[in-house]
Amino acid sequence: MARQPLNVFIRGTRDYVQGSQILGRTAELVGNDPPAVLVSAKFTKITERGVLAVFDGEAPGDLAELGRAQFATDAGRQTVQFFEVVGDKAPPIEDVPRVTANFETDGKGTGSATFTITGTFESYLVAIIEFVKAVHAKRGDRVTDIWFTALMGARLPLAASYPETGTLRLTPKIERMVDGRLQTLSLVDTEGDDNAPPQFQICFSCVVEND
Amino acid sequence: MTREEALTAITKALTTTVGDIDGTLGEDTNLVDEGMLDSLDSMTFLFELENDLGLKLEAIDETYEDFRVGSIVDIVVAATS
Repeated sequence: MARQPLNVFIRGTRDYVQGSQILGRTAELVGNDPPAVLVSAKFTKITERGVLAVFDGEAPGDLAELGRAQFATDAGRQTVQFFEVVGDKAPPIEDVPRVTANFETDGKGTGSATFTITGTFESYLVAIIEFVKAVHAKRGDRVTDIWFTALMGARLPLAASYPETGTLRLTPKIERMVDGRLQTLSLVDTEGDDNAPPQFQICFSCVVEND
Repeated sequence: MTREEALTAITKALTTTVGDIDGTLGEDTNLVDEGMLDSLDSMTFLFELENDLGLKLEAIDETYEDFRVGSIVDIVVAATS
């Protein structure tokens, strides 16, 4: 399994492959025997094309790196790098309904929302990213190019063990302006049943314009 | 906090962010210019540093750009005095 193309799609009206899909398909390849968790992920480029996952292997020098993720089991850690596949766009797929509701924010990066998901690893990622994106969208009069760029310090099980309903809370910690883009690092807290994952850090990037 | 203690805290935050570093950090080292931190890593580094110190470094706002170690030592020493 040194190199494996991921079965990813362009969902709805988007013009990029979602990070949640990339991590979700990779998690299926990593498997959960022994039980594994996602520790970190970092995306430096978006793509509308296919994605190749390289598992603890030599990076293909002719492909553009999209990012990387680190998974952990009791036996150790495994790093996976993602590369853009040269070729056609990823195939389209229908969008899915929103999974967060009762959204609240102070417009400065703090927010909360409830979620209803299927309890899988990918459905939880979708809820997190939808929620954090919504918080960032309210940070100015016009907020564009809102991207999920990283998560760190996480212990997110790959098993379908997440609460199906609960509340997400976002607390901003670090903000930086880099090349005209606002970059943020925030803490995500999940309230649900006993299976709610522990707090972790999430990074987003966006362009904020105010009148 | 002394400058030496501040440097130790900065080294710890850097190691947590990017893993082991070669050699020791000097005050003239620029963490960004010398490629030790990219823009994403710089946020993680600042988060880890503030977390370890248990305080917000108010001098480092969203426009802060000086990642020379000596400058960050100055800020940590001032914030903890």
